[in-house]
Amino acid sequence: MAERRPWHYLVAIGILAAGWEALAIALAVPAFPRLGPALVALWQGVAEGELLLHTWVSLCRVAYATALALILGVPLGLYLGRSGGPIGSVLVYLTHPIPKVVFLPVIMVVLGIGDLSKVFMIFLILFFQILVTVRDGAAAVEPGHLIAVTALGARGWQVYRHVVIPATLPRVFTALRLSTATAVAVLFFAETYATTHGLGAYVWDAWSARDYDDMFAGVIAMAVLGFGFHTAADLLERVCCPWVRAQVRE
Amino acid sequence: MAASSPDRGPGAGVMVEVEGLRLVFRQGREETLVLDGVSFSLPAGESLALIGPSGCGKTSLLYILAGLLTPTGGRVAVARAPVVRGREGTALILQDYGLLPWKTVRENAALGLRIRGRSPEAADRVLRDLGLWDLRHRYPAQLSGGQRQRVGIARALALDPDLLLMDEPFSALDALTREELQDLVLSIWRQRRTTLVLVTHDIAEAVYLGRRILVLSSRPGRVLAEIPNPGAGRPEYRREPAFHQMVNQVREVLARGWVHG
Ligand SMILES: Nc1ncnc2c1ncn2[C@@H]1O[C@H](COP(=O)(O)OP(=O)(O)OP(=O)(O)O)[C@@H](O)[C@H]1O
Ligand SMILES: [Mg+2]
Repeated sequence: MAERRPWHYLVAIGILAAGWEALAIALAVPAFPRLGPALVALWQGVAEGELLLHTWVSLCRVAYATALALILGVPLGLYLGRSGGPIGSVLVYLTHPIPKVVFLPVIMVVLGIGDLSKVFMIFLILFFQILVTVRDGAAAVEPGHLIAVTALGARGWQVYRHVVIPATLPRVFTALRLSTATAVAVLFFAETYATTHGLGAYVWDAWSARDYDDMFAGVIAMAVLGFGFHTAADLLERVCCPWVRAQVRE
Repeated sequence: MAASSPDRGPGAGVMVEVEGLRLVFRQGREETLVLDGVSFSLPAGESLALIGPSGCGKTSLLYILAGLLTPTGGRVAVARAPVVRGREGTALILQDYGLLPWKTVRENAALGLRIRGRSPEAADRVLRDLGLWDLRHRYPAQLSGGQRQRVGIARALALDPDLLLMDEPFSALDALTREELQDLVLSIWRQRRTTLVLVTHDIAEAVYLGRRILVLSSRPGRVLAEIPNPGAGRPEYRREPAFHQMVNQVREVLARGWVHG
């Protein structure tokens, strides 16, 4: 894959904007505003600070959920991949395909309808993604690498530190990148109830007030949020896994 | 060619002793006899080349010497003690995958020292000796095959081993690089008098580096012949007629083994 340069982004954004405009002109309904008014609404929302506040609330929810999913999913995935027995494997096999969103009513009853249930919902989805990715990565560690460090006298934790964890780390970032879109989608869903804050609530409020410019300002903010998480995962990977880029350059 | 230190000289006793070695792999109900009654002994400071057809158990034998694999039967001793995994003085060099892709040259070379909680200085010294110092910040993916194997050797030498086990270390390299690294191993052996066990498919390599050549039969691996090769251990040997005669002799033993084995 060729290196991406800033002007590539400009061109791609231009194509998206042109597509938006074309669609808005073709549809010609108030519910789908032209790009101009949506951007003005976005600018006003940001300038007044209101949209920033909603974005911040949403960002915190996803960030907490991601942190929790990593803290629990990575160690458990490493364990299941390296030394987990058949029961652990069957447990994941049975639970992974369940669409987690259907538990939302149960979660709301148990954890209440506040922030906790929203964060937990997002956590649940990210957790399984990360768990399965890390488990598969840990199980697929190159046996030659294990032999090499074992021959050097590594045992227990050292094997994890020098081989299993670094071998799995790039996959964690891939899992994060792949699950950001889902996380933001679920966030949107979870912010439709019992909250006045968050981008989901902002979009729904604008929709019920038929303020479509504002609604699209919220949609753009959500897109930026998703893109932000994606980019953060990218940057973190560059810092934490510098060898990945060395391999690509070969 | 005087020994560099008395405890490593040829007179210091036996480094590797293998007696009646048997190895059976079990996979479910299926049993595969891999090594059957392999015996040999190797004095400290000597070099042994292990050669034999593919699948005859050479790598397995090396892993047993490194303590990575437990034999089904027989006796194995390294430095007159039962084999233990991660023995301080034993270093293993593998064909591929020996280097960790996520560690730089310098980190890879110092890995054995780090795992043992020792200072990484010795690794820097070896990197300089082997001409790898300028590459120390690179990752293995940014090295040529020959450079990678040099780093593998550096990592082994950083531990100042008394037993060096090598599993087809140069088979993936082009002929020129291979000879260059064979010369490197030879000079290391001459300087340090490290006991050397080298697994190879390459008859010329076995004859150049192994002062004894152990020829194994096809699976199950049995000792077909142990050929003394006292001419080995000098860089000139490659160009002498005795070298080529020895190559032919080994080739014949191998061919006979394949026909009857
Ligand atoms: N973990 C294992 N389980 C079952 N069988 C194995 C295992 N490892 C190796 N074997 C079998 O044992 C035999 C010897 O393998 P080994 O790798 O020691 O051979 P080798 O002489 O090194 O071969 P090559 O020259 O191709 O490297 C082979 O037939 C192989 O299929
Ligand atoms: Mg082998």
